[in-house]
Amino acid sequence: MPTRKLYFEAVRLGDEVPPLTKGPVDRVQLARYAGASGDFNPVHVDDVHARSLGMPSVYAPGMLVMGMLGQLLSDWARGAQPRRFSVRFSKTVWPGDTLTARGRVMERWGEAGKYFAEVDLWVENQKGELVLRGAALVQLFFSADDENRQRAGQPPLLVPAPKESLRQPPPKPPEVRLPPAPAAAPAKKAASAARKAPPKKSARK
Amino acid sequence: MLDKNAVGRTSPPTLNEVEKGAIRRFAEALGDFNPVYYDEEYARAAGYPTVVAPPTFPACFHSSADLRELLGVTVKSLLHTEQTFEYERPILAGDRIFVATRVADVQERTGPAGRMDVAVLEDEGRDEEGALVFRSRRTLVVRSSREP
Amino acid sequence: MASHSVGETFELVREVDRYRPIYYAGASGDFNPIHIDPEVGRLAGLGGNILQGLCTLAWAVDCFARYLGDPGAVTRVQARFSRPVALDDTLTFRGVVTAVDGERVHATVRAENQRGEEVLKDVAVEGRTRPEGLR
Repeated sequence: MPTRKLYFEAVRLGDEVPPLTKGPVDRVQLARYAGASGDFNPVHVDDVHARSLGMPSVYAPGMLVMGMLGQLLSDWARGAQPRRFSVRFSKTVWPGDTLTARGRVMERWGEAGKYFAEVDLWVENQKGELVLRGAALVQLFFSADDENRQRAGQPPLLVPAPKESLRQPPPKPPEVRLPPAPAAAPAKKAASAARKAPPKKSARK
Repeated sequence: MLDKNAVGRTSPPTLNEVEKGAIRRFAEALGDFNPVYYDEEYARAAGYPTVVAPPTFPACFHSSADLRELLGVTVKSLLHTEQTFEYERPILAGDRIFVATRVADVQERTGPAGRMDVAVLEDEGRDEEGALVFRSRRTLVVRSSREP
Repeated sequence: MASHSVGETFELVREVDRYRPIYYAGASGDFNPIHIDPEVGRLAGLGGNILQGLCTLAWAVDCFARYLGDPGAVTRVQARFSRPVALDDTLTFRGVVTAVDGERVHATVRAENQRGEEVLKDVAVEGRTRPEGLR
């Protein structure tokens, strides 16, 4: 059965990952995720408990939303191997929310027969608010020919592929970034406004 | 306040067996019906030896980590703010993965709302030969009270 | 020695905490929204989400299995669901041995909520008597 695969030769800088719309999120999905993940934290499944903490209702675990973003990534990068996948949660997802996951290719390069693409990824709710932002690094075969060679035990295709990047300046090494303090409303607002256009975030100095 | 000495504390590795049914239920919970998670034949045609787990599947692995023990506090509430996975290879049905949790960092931050603690926990999954399978890092904002 | 006699009774009390239907859904895969979503349960005229009937039945069987001393010894179970079980209900299961026939023990179990209403009807269970030596 032929399966569509993504190869490095077809990946272009700035390519948009086909968006994926999920939802509306409902309580059954929250219960399913609790059952599948083993995380039965009552804030995700018990409205009475959630309201006792001052929440309007139960809400989605961040990992469920990251999982949806993982679906976007895996659907796009079929046949590729994710190497790194990271997110930062910024907004609570409630039952009834419809989510759209999106992504964009920010970097691509090859080295010693290994080919990589880095994508920015993010999820918006039905109001266009950013609920989560992240990035992933995937390793791909250069082409179907490369994959067939390697699966037959031959060395990989060596094609020069110097790093191309939409990031300016190049990404700094990962650092632990603290979430904004809850009461720091003005700072937070500014930060989330900036986050609304993730692909342009490279404009920050 | 979290104990700076907690950094480096590690829980003993716990065995997690990756069951096909668990992969299916996890993918169903995400509403992700990619056949590589359900159909062995399809997965083989896609180049895997058997069905593969979705990228965030390590979220359902358990470790023997007890936050109270690791961080030395009674945790009142947790807010998960960041998550990173690094993969050495795909996670496959039938894998037996030993997961240990390490306190990678603790920091204190004071804002207008008061003090908050940030803990970074790193899970490491290794196969039976000891080879690294994945690393998973969680950043948590912890509200806690001191151990009595 | 293993002995079961007609008229022997056994009992089990279980409380339906609010997480029970969620846990049961996770384990069984029965995510019917009337078990999960209070609003769906209300719209269905049930006053909220209700416990899966098979969970109630599982407890009835557990009550009998404890009496037998071995869940593997249960050989037959039959019941009808007669009334929804709500969250925060307390269920009492009372069994009585109705026949002992060679290696088989037959019993009925009555399952009722804290108001004395029957939640399962005609519960009949059957099991193997425990072999000697296991006791």
